[in-house]
Amino acid sequence: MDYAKHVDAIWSGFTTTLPPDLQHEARVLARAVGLVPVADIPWSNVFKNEVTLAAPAMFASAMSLATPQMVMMATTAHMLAIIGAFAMDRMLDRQATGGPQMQRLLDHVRAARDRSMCELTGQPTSPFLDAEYDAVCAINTERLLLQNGVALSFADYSRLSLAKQGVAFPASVELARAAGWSGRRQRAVQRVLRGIVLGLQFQDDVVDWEDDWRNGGAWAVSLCRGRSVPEVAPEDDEAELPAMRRRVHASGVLATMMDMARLRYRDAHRIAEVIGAESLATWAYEQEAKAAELTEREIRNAGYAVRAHQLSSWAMEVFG
Amino acid sequence: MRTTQHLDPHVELRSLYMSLLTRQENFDEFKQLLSEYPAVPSEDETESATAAEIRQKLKERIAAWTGRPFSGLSSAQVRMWRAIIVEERMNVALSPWKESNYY
Repeated sequence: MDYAKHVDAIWSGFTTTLPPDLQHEARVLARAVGLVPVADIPWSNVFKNEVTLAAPAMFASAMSLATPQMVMMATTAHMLAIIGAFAMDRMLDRQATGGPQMQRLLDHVRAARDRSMCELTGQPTSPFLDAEYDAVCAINTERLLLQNGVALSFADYSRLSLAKQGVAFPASVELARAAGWSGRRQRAVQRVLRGIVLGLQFQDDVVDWEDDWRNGGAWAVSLCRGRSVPEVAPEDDEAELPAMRRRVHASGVLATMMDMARLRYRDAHRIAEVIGAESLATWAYEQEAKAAELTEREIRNAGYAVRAHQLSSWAMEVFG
Repeated sequence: MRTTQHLDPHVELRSLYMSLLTRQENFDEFKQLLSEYPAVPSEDETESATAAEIRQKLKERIAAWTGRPFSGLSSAQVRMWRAIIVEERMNVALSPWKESNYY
């Protein structure tokens, strides 16, 4: 299956159901929430991986009893849930300002998500309602903790990160159930997704920690305080960021966070292999290898992953 | 006897890249020097003496970081690097935002 075409066709189909005055809002949504710098980028080209939007379709290759209609309903519900969650996350973080038109668009996104989900499950209510509520609570809790620079443990980090990702699971798990998979295999689907979303989240929290800190709080800083690393006072007129950077680098938390990403990708890769989700297993294995390399480099040269991220556009330009 | 060393631009850039990745102070200084370079050329397209000095300093610093001679950069190259690294402007055709959109 061409997952890119699949997700673009789903979004295109969804936009035809929108009132005319929301068509423009839908076209520019990815830009409005800060995912891309220009309008009209197809959703398949917004994320660097296919799993973010097309997870159910990727699992479906291992489900012999999943019909095309089931896969369509599950992928529609998943994709709209993820897009809605991104928009909500960016608005709660104040990285995006949601005007009334965007709010209306997101209401349509949620309604279509829940319709697809209820069609798939045959149930009157959508599991996304609870999942979304839990995610909002987790995002708000995280914001308060990070804004106040509270010292936190790696266990806190794992728990809260997982709670934020609640909407990533229902569509794929319900697809597995609809396709006749046992409870054990449904849990395996959930564990693969857990590995993937946490791997992506931890990696993102490493490479973006400086921006996150400037915007109100970063896990790297709270985890560093949780390790009781002594405060480093800025030297003379030194800005706050360089002093905090030296402290974070000295603490080694970035390498630990990157290694946590590696371990989560490893879980995803191993379990996906067991249940026969080959494309997911291959993808997770590649991410595991990249995270392993970044962890090693991060251990040898603290801040390596951040600098690699900050230089990525430049490197693309000069090396092609 | 050859007195000039052949400089392979790709090898030079690769050395620079590695030095920026592995040393925070090199990365900070690189970004600082780029930020000091004028973002737009003068009206008559000539490079000011100050801008030329910054470009020369950049060349010398890169040579020092990499431990090898550096053949230098054109004014247009420095402006392009400045746009990408300091102003964080992107080449949309390369979809660099995909590097950062994780969920």
